[in-house]
Amino acid sequence: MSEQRRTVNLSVHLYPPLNGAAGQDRVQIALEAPATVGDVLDALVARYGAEMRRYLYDASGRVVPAWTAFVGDAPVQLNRDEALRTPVGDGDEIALILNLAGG
Amino acid sequence: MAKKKRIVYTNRPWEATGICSGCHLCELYCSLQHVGAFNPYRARIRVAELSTGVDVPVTCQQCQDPACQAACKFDAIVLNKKLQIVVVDETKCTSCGACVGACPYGIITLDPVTNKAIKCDLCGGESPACVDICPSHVLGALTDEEVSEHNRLRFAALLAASDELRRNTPSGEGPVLKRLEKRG
Amino acid sequence: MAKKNSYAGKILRVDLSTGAITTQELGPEYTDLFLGGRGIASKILYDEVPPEVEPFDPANRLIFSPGALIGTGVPAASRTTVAARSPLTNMHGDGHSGASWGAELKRAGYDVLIFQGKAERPVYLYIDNDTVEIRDASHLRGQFTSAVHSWARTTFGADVCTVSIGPAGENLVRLAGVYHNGADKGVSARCGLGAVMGSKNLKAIVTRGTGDIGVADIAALKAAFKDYLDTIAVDPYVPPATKYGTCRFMGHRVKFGIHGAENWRYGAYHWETLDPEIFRSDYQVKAGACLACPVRCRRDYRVRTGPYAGVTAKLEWETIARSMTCGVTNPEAVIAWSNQCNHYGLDTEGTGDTIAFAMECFENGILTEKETEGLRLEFGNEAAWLELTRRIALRQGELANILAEGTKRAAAKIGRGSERFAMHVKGGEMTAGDPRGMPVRAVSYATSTRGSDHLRSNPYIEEIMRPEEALQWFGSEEAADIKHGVRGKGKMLKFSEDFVTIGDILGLCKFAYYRSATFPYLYRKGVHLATRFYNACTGRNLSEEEMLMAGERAFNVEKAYNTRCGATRADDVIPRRFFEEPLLGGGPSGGAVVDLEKFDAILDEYYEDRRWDPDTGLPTRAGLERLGLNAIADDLEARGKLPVSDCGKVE
Repeated sequence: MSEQRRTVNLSVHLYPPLNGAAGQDRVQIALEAPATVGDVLDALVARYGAEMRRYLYDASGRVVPAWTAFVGDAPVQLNRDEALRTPVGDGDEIALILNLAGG
Repeated sequence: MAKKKRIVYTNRPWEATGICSGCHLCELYCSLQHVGAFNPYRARIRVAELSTGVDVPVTCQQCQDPACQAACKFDAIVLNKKLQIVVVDETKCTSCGACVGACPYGIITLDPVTNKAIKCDLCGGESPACVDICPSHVLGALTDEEVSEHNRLRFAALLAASDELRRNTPSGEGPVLKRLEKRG
Repeated sequence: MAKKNSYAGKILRVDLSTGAITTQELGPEYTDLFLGGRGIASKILYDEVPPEVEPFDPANRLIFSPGALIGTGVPAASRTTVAARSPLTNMHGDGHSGASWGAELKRAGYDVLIFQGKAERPVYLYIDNDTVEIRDASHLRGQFTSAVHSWARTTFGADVCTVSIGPAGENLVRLAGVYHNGADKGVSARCGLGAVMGSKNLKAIVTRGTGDIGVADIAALKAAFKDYLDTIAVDPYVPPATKYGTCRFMGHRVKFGIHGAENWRYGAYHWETLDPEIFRSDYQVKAGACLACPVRCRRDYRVRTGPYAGVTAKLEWETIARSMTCGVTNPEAVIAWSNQCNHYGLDTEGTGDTIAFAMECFENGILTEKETEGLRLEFGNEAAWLELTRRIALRQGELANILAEGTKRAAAKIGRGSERFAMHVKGGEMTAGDPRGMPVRAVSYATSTRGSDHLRSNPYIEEIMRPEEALQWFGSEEAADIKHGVRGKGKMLKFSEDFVTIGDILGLCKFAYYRSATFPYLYRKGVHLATRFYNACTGRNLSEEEMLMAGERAFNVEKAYNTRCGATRADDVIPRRFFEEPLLGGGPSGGAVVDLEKFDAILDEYYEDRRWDPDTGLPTRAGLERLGLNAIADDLEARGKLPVSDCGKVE
């Protein structure tokens, strides 16, 4: 008998400019367990296409290091590859925010 | 024969960045193109800053019966057959300023360095410098038909925008309350 | 024959005491090492205003130094430096503005404008190309910045540019700014520059300049411009700037919990009514640009209904932040406050902190309702906040008169333990976000040369660097860790300061060149392209290393100036609140304090990298000579201001 697949349902708050690429500030995505922050980014690119990819990844295909993923209240700086392996759980509130400090 | 064009302020007032931002890049690159230096006072396109803080780029309307040409007693404003617009012949211009006073749009001026009359010449038919550089993309070199179509579409968009506004706020209370409501 | 160099070639000097107006050549002694803008301004300040001259003495200079590239078509080459000895910090003071007045000055034929002396009665300076006259300004006395600009346009034509002070500057309020082109185009706000201008009885400068600004290599300039556009096209940092303006920085403060709310006590706070989307959708009337800038991130807002109906203001991020420092979160009140400060000629940063100081005093009973003359100075009381701001600009009433001296002096005057509520560094009021929870940010507020200043010092690089980049550039992967990193942070701080100073020297806006989402994009804009633009415009051939060194040099001149005024390591410190009181309100930095050990460790590493003496924080002869600042080293030594242990070791 096949094991029932678990779904990880997430609410993702997209900060600028990602909200421009998605057309909205908040989106719901469903991933297969176990899921990671990297899976969240992949799902966003798959759904919203080239503009989303251009904001999240640099020319070499690595995540733009200024992105911070908040899993709940915990910030995960995406300037290192292993950060993408941070797990996300069903019901987690995710936020993707650019370290847009300036003034 | 190519159709006559003129530079038009193709603003999109329903977009926040679809209007002139007042950056003056058009003036800077117009003067660079024509005199090899940066000087808005020697530009053929000028950004007028109204006292309300609104900026508007203004340039030659390439009139069918140019008042500047009619005012010139020295035959210094002549038809360029290729572009079908009038241009200044600097060898004949005496800096008398009659054209400056005659232009209803205040757009032909005397260059402060050469003292000759200057007006938009569409960069000689090449891609106009102002159109190329404008970061808001609110300048276009348009034929009469293109101008007409632009105006029609813009008018339609304004009508549609007011429709949409009415649809999204049935209570008429406005977007602020709607947004605060959503956030709880 | 077009000019082949973007320098105008002249310094204009106006002595308001004698009425003498002179010009001198802008020679290589300025351009070679200091280039323009803040570089030249800082050098002139050092050379001409010794510590014996107090900020309000007629002998203080008020220096206007447009960035080297202003007036050219280099993208975002928009900024002008204004410098003087600061009446707030008593040390180096400067401010910048992206309005177009500086370009008009250059077109009139002057790269730098220096005021010295004091006029007997209010005057304005009139410049129309070669014509330069000191004229009577009695009809402008008490006028708003906006009114001065309108008068100038009406009288001299719509093309004129102006610089003015409002009533605040006239009243020598130490929180007064110098406004460019009226109330809503730009302001050199910090350091009390408006008060210096007022102390000289100089109300305004009216300028028309119709000369060319040349360029040495047009093709190189155009190629660099294209490169710049390609770089920003792929940088996710830029679209939010264009779409939202500077109010976009709210998101970062919220998510990192570093608001500085209620006089720098709360890191998390009720911010929702100040959402950038609300500003954009409900109040925005203009998405504008500074001179030559394609990013277009300045904003004008208007309130249409309610008690503040009809008020319009240019409003930028720090004004929103300092509103929260005063507990105010109603966007309409914030717009009204910005309007008020802009017209009266106040700095919102310093004024916000100063009123917040008064609010906390009131909360703790240190100021009574009698002393506040009936104003209930509670955090969030909009009416009291607006009214007190107006009174401060006019020095109306005893409390306003005290607060008009700035937070540090007000606390000293009031006493009664209020000093612990005075949030300033060296007398310059606190800026940006809370430092608890971000170790190097804390140090950067202390090391800035003009009091607390995030723009010149905060190393935003830590928020965008990969660990391997941090290792390569600053010797430790730790430097890329915002919350915990210590090693490498001091070096990162030095680099950030030097790097950003390039922008102020050339007149390039930080938001267009010195902020980015990746370090390669950042370096490409802020160093590589900046250098190419400078060379293309001037015909010089600076290397990127030389450009970075020019930034380092200007910073060291300012440090030397402050040293000469008496500053030491003891002054490189931030308010005790940050070390002792846990950040309130919860959030990601909730409960944090600035760790003194980490602070000192980063500062030690910073001083060493800067080649300053780690014990005293003083510059060394070797460090200064490496930058070609031998004469400054001699001057400091003659005054006993070089470190005792300094034997002039060559590195």
